[in-house]
Amino acid sequence: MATRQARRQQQRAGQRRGGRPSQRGRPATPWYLGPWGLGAAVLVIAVVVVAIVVSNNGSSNAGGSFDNKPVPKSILTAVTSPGQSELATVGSGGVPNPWTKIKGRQTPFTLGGKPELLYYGAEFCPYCAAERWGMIAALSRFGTFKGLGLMKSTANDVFPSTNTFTFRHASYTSPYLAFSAREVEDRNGRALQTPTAREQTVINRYDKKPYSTQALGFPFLYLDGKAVGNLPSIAIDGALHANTTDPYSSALSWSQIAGGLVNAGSPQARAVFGNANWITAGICRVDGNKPASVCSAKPIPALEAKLKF
Amino acid sequence: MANRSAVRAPERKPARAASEPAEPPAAAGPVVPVWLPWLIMVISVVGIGISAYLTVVHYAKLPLACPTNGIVNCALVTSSPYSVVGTTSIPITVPGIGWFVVSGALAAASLLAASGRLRYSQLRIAGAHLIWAVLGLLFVLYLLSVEALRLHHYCEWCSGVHVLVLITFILALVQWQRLMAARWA
Repeated sequence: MATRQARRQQQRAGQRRGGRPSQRGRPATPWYLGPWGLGAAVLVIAVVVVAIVVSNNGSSNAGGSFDNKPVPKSILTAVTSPGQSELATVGSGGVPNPWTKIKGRQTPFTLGGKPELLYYGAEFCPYCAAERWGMIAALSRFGTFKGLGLMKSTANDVFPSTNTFTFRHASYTSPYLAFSAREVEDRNGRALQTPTAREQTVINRYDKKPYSTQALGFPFLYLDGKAVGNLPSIAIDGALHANTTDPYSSALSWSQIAGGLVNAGSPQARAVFGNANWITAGICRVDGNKPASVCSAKPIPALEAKLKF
Repeated sequence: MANRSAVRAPERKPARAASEPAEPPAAAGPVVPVWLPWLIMVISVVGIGISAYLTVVHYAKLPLACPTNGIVNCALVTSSPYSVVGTTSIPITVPGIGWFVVSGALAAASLLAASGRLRYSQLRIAGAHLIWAVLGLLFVLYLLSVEALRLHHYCEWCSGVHVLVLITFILALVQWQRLMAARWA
């Protein structure tokens, strides 16, 4: 009788634990101690991982009133139309020579019979954000942009939300130079544009040491097969933020940067136009110093003399 | 009258409470396969190796052997503010090395306990290992969320370490399950 009682207690205990009582009266193994338990744990982990990977980080990088909107004329004018005397006063702006000569055999990189400048970057990239200001200023001396859009770099990196432009839908025409821009990722890191096979070959070959500090890094400039541009992005980016030495300080607005550009002594003018002057000197070197109005004006000849290609 | 003293009443074992698991039956072999803790130890060695490499790269400021291609950018991830412990300059790979060392030690202890050379029960060690693995897994999920939601880039080496932690968790869970199931049987 005592044995029957003990057996009944075991059966009831097995039922309370959720298992079916075995034929011998022993409690069944709970489900979480078997394959179902392991499967449930793996499933939960998988769901969490997938949720993390696919979720957007929300409003900080969401498209806003700026996302690829046309650049206001006042800002574009400030960037593309500085006075000649201001450019001469800025000189290099304290920006070091960014151009590195391609070693060994140099294969011309041309498009439509003109020397080509290739830009490889991304919309999220804070350093690309800084470079575009100087690039637009320089290239506007040789041709005309259309379709430039406003953009900010990612909010989740150094120099967060740097106010800048995007080349995503831009076109450039010039009688002296061809310009190809590839924004390969958008502000959220999603794939955007793809370099052509010809461009990818150049990127794979030269966007690495000794020309770049990081293989396939952004931004990358390649000029007519003669030089790679390693622009001092950190110094320039600092000038576009409230605190030039704090990489996490808040970004100046487009208007604030444009306002600083009119003053040759401002950090914004020295960084942007100093960078632009170096880019201009490089272009003048490969296009036969045309137009003369640009390539003969100070400080371009002095900077061009320092180029090693 | 029968001599009652000659007839002994059957022994009455106290009824076992529902919460008490049965004594484990005499097993025909080890409950936990021997290869399981050995595999965890091998994983720990690999994890220590990768974490040590990332630590050396951090301090020596060497370039990582990792391509930058679209969403993969090891340099960006390993140089971000999230790559160090709090506000210190200690890379998080250092506690990562510590995690793998402890995991490997627990696996070794499980083997010793199974062979009776340790006075702690293998189940207790397996329980501790499972807790340790859960803690590691939670931290991996945190790092993954930082990569996905803050940095928008991933690091191949870091992902390799994360996978090793996940595999360790699965193996630790299986080990604990088998030992617990053996006690329930």
